[in-house]
Amino acid sequence: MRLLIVEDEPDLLRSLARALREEGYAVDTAEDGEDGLYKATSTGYDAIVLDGMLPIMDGWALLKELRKTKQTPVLMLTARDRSADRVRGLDIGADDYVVKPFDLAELLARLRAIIRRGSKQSSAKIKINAVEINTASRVILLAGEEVILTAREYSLVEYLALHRGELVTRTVLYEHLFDENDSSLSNLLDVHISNVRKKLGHEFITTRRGHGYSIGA
Amino acid sequence: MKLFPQSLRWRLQAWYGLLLLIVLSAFGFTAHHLEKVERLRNVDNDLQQHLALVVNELRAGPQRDDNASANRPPQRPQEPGGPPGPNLRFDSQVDAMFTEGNRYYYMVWLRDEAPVARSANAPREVPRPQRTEASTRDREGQLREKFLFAAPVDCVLVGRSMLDEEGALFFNATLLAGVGCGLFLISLIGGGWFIARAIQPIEKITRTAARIAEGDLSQRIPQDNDQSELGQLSAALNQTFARLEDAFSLQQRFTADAAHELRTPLTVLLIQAQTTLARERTVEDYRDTLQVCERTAERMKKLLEALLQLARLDAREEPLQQTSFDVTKTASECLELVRPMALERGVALHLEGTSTTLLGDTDRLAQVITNLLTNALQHTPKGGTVTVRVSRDDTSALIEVSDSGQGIAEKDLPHIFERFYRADQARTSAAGRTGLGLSIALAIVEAHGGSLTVKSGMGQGSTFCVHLPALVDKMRLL
Repeated sequence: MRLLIVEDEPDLLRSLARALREEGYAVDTAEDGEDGLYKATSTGYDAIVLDGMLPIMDGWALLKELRKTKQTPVLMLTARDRSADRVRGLDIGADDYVVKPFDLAELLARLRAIIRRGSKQSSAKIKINAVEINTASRVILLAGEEVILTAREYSLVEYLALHRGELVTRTVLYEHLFDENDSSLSNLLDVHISNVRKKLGHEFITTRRGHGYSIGA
Repeated sequence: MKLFPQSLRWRLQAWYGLLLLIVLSAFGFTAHHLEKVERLRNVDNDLQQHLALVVNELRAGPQRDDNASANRPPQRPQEPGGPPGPNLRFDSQVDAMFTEGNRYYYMVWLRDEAPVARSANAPREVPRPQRTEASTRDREGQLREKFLFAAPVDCVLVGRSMLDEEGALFFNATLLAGVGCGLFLISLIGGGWFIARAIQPIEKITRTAARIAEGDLSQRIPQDNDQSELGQLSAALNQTFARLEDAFSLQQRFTADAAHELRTPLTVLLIQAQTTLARERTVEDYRDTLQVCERTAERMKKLLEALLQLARLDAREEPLQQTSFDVTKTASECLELVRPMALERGVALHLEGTSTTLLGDTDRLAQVITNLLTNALQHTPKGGTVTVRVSRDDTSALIEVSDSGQGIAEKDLPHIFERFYRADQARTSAAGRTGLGLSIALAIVEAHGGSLTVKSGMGQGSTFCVHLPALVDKMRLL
């Protein structure tokens, strides 16, 4: 899962990015509205965490522009808990909002919810054959037994599971699993795929040579 | 509308009705009385004329009756008790007056108690008038009589019935009362309508004030170009409401802004702590987290101090110190304070002006200069200059802080002293700005009875001017 955080307060941006990376997300950051809009329109993010008050272009204006071309799920951060501010964001097209100060757990839960909604998956649990993925606790069970995956491996499985039955190209996987700071060594993806196959069974991920990967087809 | 006795409308209506009743009654009674007097006077006149006629006729009667005895004294009338004397005959014209219509009657007496002559329509019992009586009398409530003690007889009386007159009088009085009652009702209803109209603005004011009391400060009294006292009152109240709303919304915005400014660092603290505590960390990780937390807490502390200082300035809690000091010297101390920041940003600092003594709160005025300098440094690019000029004339001292920065856009100029207003929308974090520096400077200068203004244009830099009254005994104290 790849996220974009647009937040102008450096300490908050760093804290949020760190927290989300530790949760296994690939995280890009932007410190003002203009940069945020550029990144949001040029990259396919799974979700955007967007602050309302930003320099150059505020969060609401950014969202309005973004919605002309993209339907990326957006979680707004608002510092004012007046309903007018919340309604404004939701009306423009925000999928949800959290009011500062918020608990990390709440932010993560809301993020997972809007990402699931974006992939038409309403439950936190996804079951594919003998594999059960709990996106809330980030635990994967194989025939009832917990399997330990690295954060990247988990993200790979989760992304494919959220798009089960679909053909996911390598480019898309790169876009959603790695952020702008990751090196783009192409065999990195192959390593993760082969590790997942070792842990969950070779046939769990289907390879369509020259096209990409899919699961649960 | 309320109809209980305390209601202004009700009381006005009651007083108005009472007054109307008194006026109408007084008018009615006066009219009735005047009519009565007038009618009586006419009756008396008529009686007087009839009496004169009878007397004249009596005096003239015998000559005309009997031409042969023209010079004999008036004939003694017939003996008492007899029928009306044949020799007391009147002119036929006069006779007709006393029989036709049966209204007037006459009686004539000599020395005896019984009349010697009477008209046919005279009442049966008519007491002989006494010489002590007034010449007019009323009898049995419906007869009016006038008499005269005159030769050739002893007493002549003319009378008439007052029944007609009293009937007419009663009819007129009834008419008057009826018309009066009608007038009273019409005026009462009309007056009520008028009072209701006049009171309407008060009811509007009451309704509006009630809605405002319920918390809807945007309510105003509807005004239809009313120039009356109540219209003026409404206008004045509307102005008051508008000022209240302004003050209230300013206060609300300030509170919201303050909360907002505190929410962001609080979020940083929460996220840092929650992320770090999620698992075991290295010592470096913990140190990093604590450093971020410390920095964030420092920022919150600074913000809180600024907010508290503003609150104290607003509340005028702490008195200003009044000491005599050299502004130029204070300004140079402030320059030294911000010099590290200027060096870091590559901005040159200048001070112009000679020794200028002022009376005021040194520490707080130093804070004004420091805030203005910090603000100037933040908006001046590398290689620019920031200049402080101190000058004075007879009545005031002037401290100017100029920068060679990008200037302030026209749309931002009216707002730059507003709390948390930022022309560039950038947030606090950079250089630890609180967004309150200029607001605090303005509050302090105003507390000294001075003024803080700004001249700026895009690309021309900005100059902040502090005018302070030089003679400080006029100074407004906190």
